Amino acid sequence: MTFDLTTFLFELVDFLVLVVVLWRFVLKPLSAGIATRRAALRASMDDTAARFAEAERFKAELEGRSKALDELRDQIMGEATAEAASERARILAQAREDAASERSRVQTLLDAEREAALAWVRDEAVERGTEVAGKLLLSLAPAAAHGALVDRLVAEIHARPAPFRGAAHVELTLPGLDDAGGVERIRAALAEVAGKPVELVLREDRAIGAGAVLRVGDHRFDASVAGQLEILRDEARRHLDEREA
Amino acid sequence: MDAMTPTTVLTVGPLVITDTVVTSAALSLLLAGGLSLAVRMEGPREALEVVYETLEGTLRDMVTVDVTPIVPLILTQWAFIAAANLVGVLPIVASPTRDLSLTAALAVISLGAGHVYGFRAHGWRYLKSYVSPNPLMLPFNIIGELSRTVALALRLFGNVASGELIGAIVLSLAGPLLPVPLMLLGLITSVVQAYIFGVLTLVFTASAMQVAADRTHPTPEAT
Repeated sequence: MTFDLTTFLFELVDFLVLVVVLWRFVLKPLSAGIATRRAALRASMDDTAARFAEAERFKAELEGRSKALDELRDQIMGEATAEAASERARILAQAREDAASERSRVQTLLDAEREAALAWVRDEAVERGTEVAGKLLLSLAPAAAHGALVDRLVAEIHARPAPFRGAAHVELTLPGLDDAGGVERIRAALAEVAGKPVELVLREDRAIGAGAVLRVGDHRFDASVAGQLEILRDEARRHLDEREA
Repeated sequence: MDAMTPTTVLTVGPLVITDTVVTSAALSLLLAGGLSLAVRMEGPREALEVVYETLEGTLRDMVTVDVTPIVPLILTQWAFIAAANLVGVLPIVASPTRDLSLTAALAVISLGAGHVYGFRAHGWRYLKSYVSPNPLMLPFNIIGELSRTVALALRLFGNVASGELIGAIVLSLAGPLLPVPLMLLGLITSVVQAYIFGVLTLVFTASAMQVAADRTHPTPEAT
């Protein structure tokens, strides 16, 4: 353990020189480099902060736009909803109106068809009824019915003699030509109202069923079952029409 | 045991140049040249910047005063003392820090740094710290400064010299391989001693600056 002044002084100077040299050529450049890097980093951070602020501002702007778009969307949706409700109401009203119109039209058609059907049924009923009545009459008492109808014709001649006065001939239609008695009664009644014998032109028509039909000029005297049934049919129809009305 | 004492390399008149001077000068040249060269290369410079930033941050975290002016001194102390301690691992080179003359020079620089930076910070008012809390404490404060400096020099000298001595004794008694674990331990001790020396210098200097600052600008607690 020795202490040498020369070594002490040299080391003193040596270390101080080393401090100065290291500071001048090593630590100072390093410190400057670090400062430069920190400055660049700070500038970068400032730039980042500025960009962040810009991004925040842009974000706020976008949020504002988004909010405005949301409001616009809500407004459009509200308007569209109201318009849709209005259109729906209009379409429903139109549909109800169309349905009512269609229902009325169909109802009219149905009524017409019903009327037509009822009329057809009525006609059929009258037709069949009179047909059945005629058949019953002819099957149950054909001779009595024929005699009664000839009597009615004779009475008719006496009741309306005018057409027969001055007539040269009269057409007489019968269901058969075997009723000579009936023909003679008619001939006598005609001669009586005409004041002279009247020529009878006899015709046979089985369709009239029973009784007889006289034709003189434009006048026709129908005392046949077919004619009576026709009158009955017309009467029944008129009666039903009146009831319907 | 001859390696434990500095050997004379050259004598120029009254000046005696020892191996301590030669080794420390060579280390200074190597440190200055190597680091200056490294700073001019991109890769090593980036590595040095990281190291510098880390060490500077460590120094700033240790004390409350602004250590910017002290950083070059402390970093140079760490680099020089660590290199001086570690160079003793080489077979034909003795550690220059086993010489009390060198450690004393470093301790005196440490002592002077505190005063220089105290004066730089607060001027002549810094001297009032010697008569604090009253003038009767002046001798004790002076003794405290000196003893602290002597302890700084002796601590480094004692640790390095004892390590070299133990290595030499084990080498002479047991052969060349046995000192290897001791040398590995010595590597750690070398770095730790450099760290301790630098930290103590930092603390003493910062303490001097802080004392002056407290006296110049008393805190509410102090009043």
